[in-house]
Amino acid sequence: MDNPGYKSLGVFDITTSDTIEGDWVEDLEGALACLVNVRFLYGTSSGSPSVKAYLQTTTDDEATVCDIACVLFEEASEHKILNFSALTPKTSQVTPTNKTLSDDTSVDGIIGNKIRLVVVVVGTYSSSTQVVAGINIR
Amino acid sequence: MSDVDPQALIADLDDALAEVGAEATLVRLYGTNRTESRVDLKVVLRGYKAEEITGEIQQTDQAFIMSPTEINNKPWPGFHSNEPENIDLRIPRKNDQILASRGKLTVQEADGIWVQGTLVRIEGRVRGN
Repeated sequence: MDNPGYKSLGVFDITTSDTIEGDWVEDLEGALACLVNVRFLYGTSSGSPSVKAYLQTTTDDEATVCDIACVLFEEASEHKILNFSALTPKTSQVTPTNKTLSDDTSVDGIIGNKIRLVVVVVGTYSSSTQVVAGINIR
Repeated sequence: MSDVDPQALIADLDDALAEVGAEATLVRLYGTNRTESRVDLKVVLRGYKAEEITGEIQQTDQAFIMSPTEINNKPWPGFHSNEPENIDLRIPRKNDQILASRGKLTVQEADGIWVQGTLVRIEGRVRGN
């Protein structure tokens, strides 16, 4: 890993039902570990809304994506931290998922050369609601 | 065929900034939450000469030069869901901030210099302190 350190996954303004794909953070070849920081800054909402933040990686240059975490937020500000290791053995085959990983679960041991966040919003939030995320790659 | 190498130009600028640049932080604020996107980098700041203070340029303004290297490495400012897709977000824009030893400086204008499609240099003007 020749460029370790903090990389922003983006700032996502949360308003209405939508799927927002963040930019891929690239050039992560040689990464051994990834510390993930996801903050949900809650404003107001109506109905029974939810925000699912899918952390994704790719092992074939974006031909397929693979969920490695799904963080669920609802109607309160939260701050979640996860850590992944590229050295965790995966001797049982993993089938990549795309925005279907179960809520508040994660898959360790799969870190490709690109990582991004995809935010799926259901319901309505105020314009001051945001998801802010970043990784500390090393 | 041109023998200009954009990466060599960037490397030369990085070397110059390492020698004479000042430590600074480039900051962009988003939304009513004032969410910050920051990157630490080196910057050269200089005041304007009397004959340059004309039009929108004021006496307290300073010209700045920075390299795209740290901006690309971060990457800064990173993805933001409400940004337009047809502009280069890496170029500082009005109301972005440069936090330097002399205080908080507010970007008034900035532009990038591209060589063969590669951003090699960023120049602009700040105001403050």
